[in-house]
Amino acid sequence: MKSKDLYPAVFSRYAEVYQKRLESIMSRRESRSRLRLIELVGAQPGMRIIDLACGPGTLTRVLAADVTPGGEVVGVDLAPGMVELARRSSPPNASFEVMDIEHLAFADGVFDAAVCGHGLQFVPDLDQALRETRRVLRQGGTFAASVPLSGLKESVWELIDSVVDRHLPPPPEIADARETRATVRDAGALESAAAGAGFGEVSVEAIEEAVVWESAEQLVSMFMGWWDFAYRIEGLDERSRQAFMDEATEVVRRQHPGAIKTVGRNLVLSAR
Amino acid sequence: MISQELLEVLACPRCHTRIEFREPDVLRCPNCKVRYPVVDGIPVMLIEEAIPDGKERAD
Repeated sequence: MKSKDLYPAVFSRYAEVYQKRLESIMSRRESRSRLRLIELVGAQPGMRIIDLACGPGTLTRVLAADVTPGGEVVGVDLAPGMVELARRSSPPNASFEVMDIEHLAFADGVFDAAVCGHGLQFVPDLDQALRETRRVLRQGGTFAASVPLSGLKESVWELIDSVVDRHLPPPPEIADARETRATVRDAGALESAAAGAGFGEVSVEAIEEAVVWESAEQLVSMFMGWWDFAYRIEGLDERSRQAFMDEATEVVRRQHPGAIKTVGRNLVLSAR
Repeated sequence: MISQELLEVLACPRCHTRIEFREPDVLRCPNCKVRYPVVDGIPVMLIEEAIPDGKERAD
């Protein structure tokens, strides 16, 4: 299966759950890597910024406030359902368009900065997306991007995975973004890719994010609604879903009877 | 819809020629001779969704 045949449709279907979750971790300031993007681009009144793979527009709205007065932000995403959702709560100086970040529909050098929060790992042709980002930025304009690392396997996710393996076949392999995923999860490779796309000053930092879950129930319920699992259980009937949820909750609760803290690792690229 | 300032920097995703926007909801590349659809007020600036001049959107 190809990235662009799967992700835009899946993200469109699960846009609202995604938005709810993202806004929750943003409001509790748990999403440190995304907050770092805002710092890195140094949004100031009057700036014009593009938010690549903007999803429900969570970062776009923060940036739109930062560039007020006189500035504007454009959010672009390949998932129409995300763009539609983003537009519903759009401030007046933000706009949203369906766009592929491998082929941006903007003239050269028109943005002062660009951000991409947890989006690059989905792009089949990463080099092309980075060249396009460089192209639409003015000379010296900053690009900041975060990507999640899957390397650090937390025991709680392994517990859930063991239950998933008993209930479901493996997920479809998305082969066309395999190389991208390997690149964005390797700091050196990511730096080289950005330099190869024409960025001069490039650096990558690792950022850990701790997230606190109230209970096993809350964690499992979020997991089941999250896009990368939700689309896999679309074919399951209500009884099978309930059986999965009960089993996963029980397995997690046995080891984590109270609140649960998970730590995720991310890389943040800064390039100009 | 998007702001006037943004419309002025909008370009064709295929050839980067500035987009013409003479009529509301019509975003046209004069070089490729295609229009990009605006669906429920959202511009869909995708190469594969471009509508050649003289054709209607097929959906």
